[in-house]
Amino acid sequence: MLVLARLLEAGGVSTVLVTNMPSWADVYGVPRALAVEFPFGHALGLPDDSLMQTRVIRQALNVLGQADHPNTIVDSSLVWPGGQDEWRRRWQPRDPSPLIATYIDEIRQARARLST
Amino acid sequence: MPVNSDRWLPYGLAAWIKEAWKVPNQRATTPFTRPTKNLRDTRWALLTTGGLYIKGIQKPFDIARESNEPTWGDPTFRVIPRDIRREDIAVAHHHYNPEDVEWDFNILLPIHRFLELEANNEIGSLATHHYSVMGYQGHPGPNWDYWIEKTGPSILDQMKSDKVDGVLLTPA
Repeated sequence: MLVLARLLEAGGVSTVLVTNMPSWADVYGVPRALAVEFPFGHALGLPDDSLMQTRVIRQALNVLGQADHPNTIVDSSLVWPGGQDEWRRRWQPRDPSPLIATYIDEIRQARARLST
Repeated sequence: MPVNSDRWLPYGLAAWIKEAWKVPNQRATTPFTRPTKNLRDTRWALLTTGGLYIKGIQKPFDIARESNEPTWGDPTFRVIPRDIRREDIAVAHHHYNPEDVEWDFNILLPIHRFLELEANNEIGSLATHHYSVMGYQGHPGPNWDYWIEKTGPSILDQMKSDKVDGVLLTPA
């Protein structure tokens, strides 16, 4: 996505990204971003919650209106209306992605290194 | 409070991503196109990496090939018109649970919310066409060659002919 943001921006279109991974955007470089601490697949909030969706969108539009230099990342103060444990499960696919299934041993080893 | 990028990642996955996924630093060359219009006059297009496509009309992203070839991701894109109905969208993406976005695509491709903003004169207008790609582009890498050479320029061309000024981008 960062690649496409930069490509469109370089082509003369102004962009704003709504991301829950601002650490990546900050390293790679993004024209403008609104950072939201929302689960994957839910950049603008919960389904059927048009008020929440519009609130996030308005914040993003303001980032586009106000940023005056590239690599602008603004943290949204909106709080996800759900628990961490529940939503850590809920956003994930029912079956591990083919990539995760392939690298599961390495992922477990990385987890083990964390606890040592 | 700063947004915590690891909040929703299982601990093992977060640790593995830090070790195995190197994000190159290109901050020094980040492009910047200053908006020339105020928000009330801006024409908007939407782009998501959620793997959305039009059910029964467009081909799903090729996640069957990805199942057999886990280090490859489909780099093509789909065009979604502004008059799309909620029941017309499906998702092909191995890397998140698409249940919520299949129920209400506005959480990733907020066409209906932007139509409301257009009706309220909060924005200039919503473009005719919007865009969907499938965000997983392979590992290790990812391989963005096709996006850079084909998908990105094609989307940009279509946005230009649709007179788009601003784009809202929503990763899945």
